[in-house]
Amino acid sequence: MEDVLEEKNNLILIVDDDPDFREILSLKFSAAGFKTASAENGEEGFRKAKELRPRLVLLDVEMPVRNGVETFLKMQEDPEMKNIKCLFLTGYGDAHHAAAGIDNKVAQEIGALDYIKKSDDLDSIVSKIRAFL
Amino acid sequence: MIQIGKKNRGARLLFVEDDKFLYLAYKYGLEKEGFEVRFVSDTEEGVLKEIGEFKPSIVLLDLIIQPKNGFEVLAEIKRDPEAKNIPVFVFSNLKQKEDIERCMALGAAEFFVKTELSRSQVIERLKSALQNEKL
Repeated sequence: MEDVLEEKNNLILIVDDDPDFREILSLKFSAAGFKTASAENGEEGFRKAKELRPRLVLLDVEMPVRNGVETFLKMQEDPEMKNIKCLFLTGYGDAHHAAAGIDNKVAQEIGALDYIKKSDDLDSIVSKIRAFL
Repeated sequence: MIQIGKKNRGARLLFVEDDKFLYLAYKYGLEKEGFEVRFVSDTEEGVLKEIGEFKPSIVLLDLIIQPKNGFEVLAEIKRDPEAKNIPVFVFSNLKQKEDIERCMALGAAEFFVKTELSRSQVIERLKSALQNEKL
């Protein structure tokens, strides 16, 4: 936890249209020593990422207004944001997709760090993200 | 890259897939290359209906999908007088020889193993296939 707290920028931006999930994840990250900000769709997420320059962005895949994949690709095209680390956070990881690792593989191919299922244990999500930072 | 995209402009690809993330990741890559992409995950009645409406140049078909699996969907496409000439590219996690042979016997144009090809390799193969079709 100390190394995270010592970092100047330990802001995590959570972009998800589910307010309950945003809230519970924010609480988990706060307890782990991170600062958090949130957005309810990809368009708002893009705007906040540009304004706040978070250390990492968690992007839900399916959201209204602009989905997570499109948001990520737009961030990649923006010289100011292309180096911000992003992870996809989604409920779409059906067992057979997850088992084959195809979504993680494709997430990395397009430049994201990984693909995390919302159904994973919250503590393990936080641990996984900490390992990326 | 831009020139190839121009060549593909107007090409329509129907992606039969139940993994929305995978669909979106491919959709934007294909669109950059000039493809118009549509997605269908309902294999009960959706595929032939979508083919009739969208009139794709190419179908990219997952195999492990419900309620009808990809083998059934492929057979259905190849039985349909309006759809049977559309090249169907199978895109699957399955990679057993018998699965590949079964698809080729049913009339698949090619078989892509999801875990063995990168996104850009698949897109490249689809572009080549489309250009060969046009020749």
